Amino acid sequence: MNTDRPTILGQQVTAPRRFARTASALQIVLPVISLAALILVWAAAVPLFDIPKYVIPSPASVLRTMNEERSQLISDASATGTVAVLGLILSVGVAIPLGLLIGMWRRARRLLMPPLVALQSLPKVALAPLFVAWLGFGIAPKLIITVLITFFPMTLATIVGVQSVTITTVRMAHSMGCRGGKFVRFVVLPSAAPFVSAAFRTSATLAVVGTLVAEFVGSANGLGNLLLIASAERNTTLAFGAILTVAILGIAFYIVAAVAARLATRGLGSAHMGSVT
Amino acid sequence: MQDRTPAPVSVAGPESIEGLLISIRGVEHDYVKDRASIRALEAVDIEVAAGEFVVLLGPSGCGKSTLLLIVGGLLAPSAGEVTIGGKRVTKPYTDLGFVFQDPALLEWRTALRNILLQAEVRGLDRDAARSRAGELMASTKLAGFEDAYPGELSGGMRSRVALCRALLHDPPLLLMDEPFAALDALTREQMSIDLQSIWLQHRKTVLFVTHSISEAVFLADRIVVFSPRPGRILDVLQVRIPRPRKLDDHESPEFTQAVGRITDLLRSEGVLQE
Repeated sequence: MNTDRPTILGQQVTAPRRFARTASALQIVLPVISLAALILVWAAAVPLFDIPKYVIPSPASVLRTMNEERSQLISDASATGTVAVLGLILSVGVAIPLGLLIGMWRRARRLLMPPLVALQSLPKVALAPLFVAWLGFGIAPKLIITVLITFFPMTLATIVGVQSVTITTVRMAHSMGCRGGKFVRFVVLPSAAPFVSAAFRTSATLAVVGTLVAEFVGSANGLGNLLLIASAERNTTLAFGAILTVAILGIAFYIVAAVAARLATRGLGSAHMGSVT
Repeated sequence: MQDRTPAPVSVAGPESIEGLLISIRGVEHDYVKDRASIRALEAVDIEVAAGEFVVLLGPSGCGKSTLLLIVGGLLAPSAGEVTIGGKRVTKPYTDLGFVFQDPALLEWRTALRNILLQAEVRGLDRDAARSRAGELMASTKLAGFEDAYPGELSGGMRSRVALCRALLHDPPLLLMDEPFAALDALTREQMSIDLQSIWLQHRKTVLFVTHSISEAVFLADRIVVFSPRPGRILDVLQVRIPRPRKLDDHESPEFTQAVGRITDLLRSEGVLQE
């Protein structure tokens, strides 16, 4: 607003600096180094220990197979990606309202927390065949399993975020007539946003896992299905190709999720609190 | 001093000029700690006239902050009732400005946007609120810190942001819980002077909690002195020093006499010992 800004102890008072931007070169170089090292170890180990191709194929042969089967991989990856994205969106739609409900009403917490924790403790892989049996091979059981696997971290984060609002802040808001929906919009959501945004990134990678689990159990397409078929046919090279594609999909999900979370947090005005990258 | 006081934004009804009558009748408060019921406040009766400046003075933990929360409808009394402008308070009373002990700023909003929260929540005119906020920030020496986040401000500055927020909508009633506690002695004096001039211009009804005797005498029309917990009213003193009171009035005989009387009261309760 002003050009000659006041100073505190000789330091200019400005909006907090974000250190992330200055480290952009390192941000790209470091992950490349770790990935390259991983692939190098893999490439060296296969001939060194004379590992047969059906146990661990060399990186070169995996890349060759991925190139040959690229149309199959792309179509399966897009099938998996679509379910994962839809499941994640659905999951956000379930987790945030649920977290608000539980965080804001003690009775809802008593009522809903035990079944939620019980559900979270169950291995979703065990539930997957049931949903397939009930709902068939369509998208529905896959979406449900993805939601089940991804909603819990975000629900918990929303609850923690709601509970981070202090009693004085609640009173301050109430004394202005800021209650109900306004209270959620002006106070609760911005308070919870940094927590939810961190959980959202975890859930985004879990979404890919969730969809794969569902595809293992019952699906006519997707990377999980491809992985299952390739393993059954002892086509280890293709199975590795599918796994590598899953990993790439996971990274893509994480990056997109991190950007989306940051935009949403900024939209709520609480961006400068969420410096966790 | 007068010319620095911001012009009011017309927000509330006709009441906003005259202030409000507050009546506190038989208000008690108990709270439960470790399954034992503890009495925080003995039956308290106070009548505050419209436009009056009443200071609640007492040692820490005497329940004066609790009483303020009850008046604001933020805490239900265990017994008794509060009426404001003839209406019984049963839910948060919103036609007021409340300054809490803890500034309760929203960490994700800048100083200016914390002040403007008041206007956003109440749906007040944006431009009017913005210019009023600018004037309030200037008069509380916050100019230039509009875009600073609470985490970047000193304790005193945070308190002043909270004060501006409470004054933004020019409320007819101010409830203030040790608003100047986090300020250094000099800023504190200045804020007392500024608050007096705001009050002289707009004659709001003010309930002001403090444990500073000289601050109480400087500001109050009437001082309600509380005993240690469970808080009960020891005495009510009328302060008749003419307004606007000046810093020099601290040395006037009336001032020292009032301070002396309160000191004696508190000494007799064992709050002050020599």
